[in-house]
Amino acid sequence: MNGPQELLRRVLGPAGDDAGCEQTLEVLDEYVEHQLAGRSAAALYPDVATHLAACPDCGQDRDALVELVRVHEMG
Amino acid sequence: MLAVELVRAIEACDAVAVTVDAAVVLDPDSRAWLAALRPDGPGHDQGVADLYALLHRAARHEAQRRRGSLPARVADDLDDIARQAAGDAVIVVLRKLDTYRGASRFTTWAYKFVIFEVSAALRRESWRGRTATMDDAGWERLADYAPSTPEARVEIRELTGAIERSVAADLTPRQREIFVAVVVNNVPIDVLADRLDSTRGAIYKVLHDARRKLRSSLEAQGWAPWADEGEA
Repeated sequence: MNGPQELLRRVLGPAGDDAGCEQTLEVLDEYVEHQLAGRSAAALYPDVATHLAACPDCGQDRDALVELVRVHEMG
Repeated sequence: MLAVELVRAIEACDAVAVTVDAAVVLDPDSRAWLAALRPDGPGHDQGVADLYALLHRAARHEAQRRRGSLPARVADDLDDIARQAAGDAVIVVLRKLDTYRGASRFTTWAYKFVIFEVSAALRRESWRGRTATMDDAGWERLADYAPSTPEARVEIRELTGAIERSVAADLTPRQREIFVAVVVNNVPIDVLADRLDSTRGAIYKVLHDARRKLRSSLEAQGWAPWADEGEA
């Protein structure tokens, strides 16, 4: 682990355009289905990927939705 | 939410005409959900009951998944929280039904609303009675691991000091309050939104602006972050 870089990353969040919470929620279902299908959701929605890495609440909700769809819809 | 309250709330929602992008071919399951939930359809009441059952199951699943990280008083209350979140999510889904474009399966689309509701409720309940203010040990905890060498310890201490000074000098009081709560004290944004009578999006925007200011300030002091790696 690179200490100062790790700390800077945590404090500043990722660089790049950030979709924000509302826009992210708008497409979160599509993002998650792409992710579960093995497609690069981050390449398709780069500003959403940036937001998910920067916003702890939205990132946690994405993880929860991935888990839910994986378990309930994909067996 | 009691069943009768749920029915009243659903009846209060405007009737919506569901239109899906003509270019999108819906899977049979999503088509069936839309047909069942049509406001004027014969199967509407059953469709709403099925939707509640689906979202209640989802809310319970998520609540149970997080049980281990919740305070005991919240863990004891998961059934009520899941029921309430499912009821709230049904209302949101019905209100937003005309915005469903068929870009994902209907169930995935509906699940995101119940996840939003149950997550926000669990965060609020977990932080009930806890203060979100700064304590003296907060800045020490910012680097939440022990640097392995004396040089790394010095570097981390210098960076932590630079961050603390920039937060004090460059941020507005509102930005400082939200930045310290979220980044230093790990307070969920939903909790701040609830306490400050705001929304997740509005609180996040303040955090985002604060981080941009700090990035400029720290870069000017020679603390340049590397380029971020993309996320899967």
